[in-house]
Amino acid sequence: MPQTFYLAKVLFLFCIVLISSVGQCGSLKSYLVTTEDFFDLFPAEKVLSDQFSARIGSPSSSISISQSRPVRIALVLSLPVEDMANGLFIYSLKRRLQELRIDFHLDLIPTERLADFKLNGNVNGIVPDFIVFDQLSPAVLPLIERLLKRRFPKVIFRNLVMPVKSWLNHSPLLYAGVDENKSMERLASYLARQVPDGAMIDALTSSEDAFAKLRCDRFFDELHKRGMNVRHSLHIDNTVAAAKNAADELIRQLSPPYFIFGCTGQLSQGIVEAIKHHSGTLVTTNSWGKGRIEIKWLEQGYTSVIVLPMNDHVAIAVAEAIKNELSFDPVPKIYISRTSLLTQDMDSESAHLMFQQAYPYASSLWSKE
Amino acid sequence: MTRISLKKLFFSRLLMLCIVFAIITTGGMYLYQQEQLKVSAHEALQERLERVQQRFVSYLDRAEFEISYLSLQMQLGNPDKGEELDRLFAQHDILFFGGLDFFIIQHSDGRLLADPRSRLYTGAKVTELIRGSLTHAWAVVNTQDGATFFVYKKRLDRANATSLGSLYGFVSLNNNLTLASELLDSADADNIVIRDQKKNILLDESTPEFILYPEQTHVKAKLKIPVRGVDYRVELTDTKKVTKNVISNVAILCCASFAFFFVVYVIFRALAQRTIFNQLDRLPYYNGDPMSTFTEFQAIISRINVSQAEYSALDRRFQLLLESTHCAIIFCDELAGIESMNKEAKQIFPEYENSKTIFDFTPLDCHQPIQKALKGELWVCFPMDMPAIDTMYEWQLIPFFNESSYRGIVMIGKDVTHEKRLSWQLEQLQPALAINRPQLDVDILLDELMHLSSHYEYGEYDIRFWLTAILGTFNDIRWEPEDVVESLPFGELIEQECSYIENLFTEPNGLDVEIDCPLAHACTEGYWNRDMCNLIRLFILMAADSKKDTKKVSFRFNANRLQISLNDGALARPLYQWMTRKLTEAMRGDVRTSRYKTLSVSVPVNAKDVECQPLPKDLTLAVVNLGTESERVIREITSRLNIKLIDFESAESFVKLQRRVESDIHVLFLGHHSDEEEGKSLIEVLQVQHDRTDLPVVTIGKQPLQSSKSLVLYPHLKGMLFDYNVFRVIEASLFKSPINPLHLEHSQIREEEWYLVGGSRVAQAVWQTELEKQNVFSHWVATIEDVEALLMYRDKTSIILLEEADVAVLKGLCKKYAQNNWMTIVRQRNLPKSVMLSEMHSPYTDEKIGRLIARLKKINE
Repeated sequence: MPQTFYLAKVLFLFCIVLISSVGQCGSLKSYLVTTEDFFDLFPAEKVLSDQFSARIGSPSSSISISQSRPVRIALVLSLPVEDMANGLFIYSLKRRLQELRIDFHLDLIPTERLADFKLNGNVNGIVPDFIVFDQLSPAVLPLIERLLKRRFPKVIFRNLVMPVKSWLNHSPLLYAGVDENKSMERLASYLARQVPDGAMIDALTSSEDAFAKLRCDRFFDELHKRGMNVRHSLHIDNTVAAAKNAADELIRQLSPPYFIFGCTGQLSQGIVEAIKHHSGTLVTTNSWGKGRIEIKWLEQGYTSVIVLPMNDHVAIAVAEAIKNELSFDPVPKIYISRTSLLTQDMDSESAHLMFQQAYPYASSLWSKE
Repeated sequence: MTRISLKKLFFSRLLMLCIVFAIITTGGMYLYQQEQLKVSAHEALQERLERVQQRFVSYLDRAEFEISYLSLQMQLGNPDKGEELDRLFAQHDILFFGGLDFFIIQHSDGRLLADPRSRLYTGAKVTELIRGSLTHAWAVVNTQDGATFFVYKKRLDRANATSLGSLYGFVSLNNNLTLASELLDSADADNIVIRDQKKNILLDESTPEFILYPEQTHVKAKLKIPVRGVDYRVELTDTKKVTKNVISNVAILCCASFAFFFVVYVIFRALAQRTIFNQLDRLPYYNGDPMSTFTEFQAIISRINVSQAEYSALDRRFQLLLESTHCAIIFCDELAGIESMNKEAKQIFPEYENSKTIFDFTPLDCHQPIQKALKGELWVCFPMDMPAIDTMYEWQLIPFFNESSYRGIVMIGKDVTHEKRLSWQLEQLQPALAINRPQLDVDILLDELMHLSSHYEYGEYDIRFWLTAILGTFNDIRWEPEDVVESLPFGELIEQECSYIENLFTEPNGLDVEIDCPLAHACTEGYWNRDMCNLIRLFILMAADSKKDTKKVSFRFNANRLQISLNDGALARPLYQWMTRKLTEAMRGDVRTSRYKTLSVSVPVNAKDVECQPLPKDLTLAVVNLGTESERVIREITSRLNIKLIDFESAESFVKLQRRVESDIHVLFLGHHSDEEEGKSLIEVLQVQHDRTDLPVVTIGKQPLQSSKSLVLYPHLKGMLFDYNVFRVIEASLFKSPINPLHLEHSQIREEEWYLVGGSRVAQAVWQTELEKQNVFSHWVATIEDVEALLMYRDKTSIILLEEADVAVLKGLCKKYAQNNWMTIVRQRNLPKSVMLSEMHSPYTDEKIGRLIARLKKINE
């Protein structure tokens, strides 16, 4: 007891220092402007965004201007290059760019090369025109801010739809992403409907990705709003193995949950693994629409719901934004792609169709497999 | 009309304007100042709104920190069930004034643990409270009982372990004094109100001064706090303390603005003075080209110039006139100083340069007329002789009012040398020239003729008389009289003229003009020419024509002048006046009319006083049968001549009474009446009586139509009687021996003389004839009263009354003269006893009368 007491006091002081140094409250949310607020502040952006969305949905029209040289695009990857998400994105992007008849040169900057880029400002000796970030982490924040200040190269975010407050004067070209809040809301309302009374929901959270955390917090809040509560909420590392272990633990409880919420894709995968292991349980989980395999999971009953973002649309949005920028057309600040919810009562045909719709280009990748 | 100075008016207006502006400025500035203060207060308050926000946010931060701390406590401490609250509440120094009002812990198994403080704030159920909360964000909760909370949810996650649950922290809005006072403090205002969307007051806090002061600044704004779903408005109110130094403020403003406007006034005044008024002051003295002055003055200057040009043109014309008239003109001011002289005047008076007034260079006898003219008398003229330049000037002085309203005179002198010379020459060369004699003014003559023809009272003879007289006179006047060689006494002249006129005059009454010429004057001798005669004639004619009762022409000699005056000569007709005037002028005399209408003429004469031989003393003049008028005149004359006058009414009376006269009658004036019937005039009687023909008798009156031979022997005075001719005639008569009536008496005594009284002439004639036959002398008297005169000196006589007589008188006479025989032939009443009656009727025959006479004679014996 006295030890913990002493520790608590130390922590307390530490916290004071931390918090006082921060000044404002320490949540990320306070630094971001919610999409609704942004559209309230800039109503014209809403219009632009809607128009842009319409363009995304329609087939591509090639670029009208002529390029003197190929446009250089750099992609900053936080996940490993081999990651499916990256691959899907890059493929879609390339396809769309080609369709738009844009001469481009795509460079990939994985994390290990990022420091190099930071120093030199170029990748392979070429200074890119556009740079696409897929994550907002403290590590890249200074770089981003530098680039934004310089206004060159132009910055595009592909997983962020909430503009940063401090960057409102030096806005990046495009925030493209998925509407997480709405998807979580839908998920929560589905679950609230689906989950029978007395059933428990457990959750696996990870603190690696701040945005994932936001998403999950939103899910929990929505659930809470609907009068349901998460029973056990395990905070683990963002790996499949840890998720599998944690899920395994949860399933083996006396009263197994009806549903286990996995915060990120990894966690969902781990949970599925765990559910596979326990073949007799009725526990389901959600998945994040990362691959077609999830349809199988849905068929097999491992997942009860797939949160399917129109990820390809994000890539298309990026390509279209580049095209607009090159031809001096206006580019909206935010592009939000829809999320659809795939449930168990959907047949595989329609699920496939949905996937097709979500990944118009990338689906060809899967077909190759 | 009071005189207003434009400058003063302008400056006073300016001053007033400046004062008004100063006041307005003060007021405006004060108001502006107040407004500015209000605005700045407002802005300050607006700024402080920001602070409110910050304070609110920091409050929420504090609350959030507390939540974090508490959650940490929970996460790390891992308290046992039931001990959590104790654990948490042990940190009371944090919890005291931290920020959270209360908290609720929800375990992962759903168990809710509420802070007991929550009951103090609301009675709502915990689940309700935590329903709308958001993870890691503030949200608002409104309970049923009107409480408003901000809720913050924090997940109590543990690494590699299940999460404990969530911690909900609550911040109350309603009764949060800490929050309210902090907010108010940060705002530095007097009142803060936070309202929600529906304008309900969530928080209301004020300082004690809030209600005291009325003036309030109010700001409203949206409250931007990091709470989801909140659209609050905050209102700040700040009271303005009434500044004690309002008055000093106003005073300062006042002073400043007045000072400023005073400076403006001074500057403007100086500017106006310099640019405008100095120019205006110089304007009257500006005599240049109107084009080279200010445009505003051009009109005035050109007008002045035009006036000046006109004036100088007029002056030039005037000067031209002055020089070109052939007169000497001198203008003088009120002090007789010379203003201007024309060339001719300068030539006349070369010494004008040294003199100040005209008195200096004009001769002395001119000064009086000049003074008279200066006093204002019009038409003063005087001649001036200038022997130095051999000219004569006729000066005319005219007073006038000059430009300074004083009386000046202008002297205009005409060179009359030539005229005078010519007229002198004319006079000397041809004295008899008709130019010297009066020329008849035809109008006057015509007037006279008209008068004569139109007046009906004139008979034809009158007219003829007048015409003859006038024309004769005029004719004589017209021609220069010849020189007279012999001198005559003046009286002679008068007599001549009188007789001339009397001759012409046909009236039996005579001219009836009184000649007033004392003897001494009448005796003056001189060489009287025709003019003198005509003058006298003229006066007498005027007198004769006069309507006055007493017409008197007087002649007097004074020094060397003769003065003739007629007492109403001024009323004579124009012709006479003209003739008189002209004649007098010809004779170099002057005519004057006095106030009493007396016309008098004064002519210079060359006469010598001749002493008249005085008459011897004790002369007696008897006057017989003269008219009343003549008798009166004679009486006056005789009194002047110192002669005793005895007056007999008629010849008979004279005869009868001549015995009564004691002295000799030196002269006898016998009057003549043309209506005498019978011949034997007194003269003849006297001649018979005295038995001589050289009686000193003078007949007076007009020549009778039947002239008897006897009369021509004696001098005749006709016409007017006056001193001189009477004197003359008396003088002449003195050469004859006087009539001695006593002598007569002695020489011839009639024995009997009977008197006849009354009766007609016929009777008288008959009786006298009869008595004569009887050799009785009879004397007839008209009335009984006349008899007394006769009876006075007689002893005894007989008186026969031929008619009725006054009884009383008769009685008296009878008594008085009882010795006489009184008889009457007419029966009448109350006859006195002494009167005998012998009645006789006409016709009286010789017999009857003879018988009476015989009877009387018997009585007498």
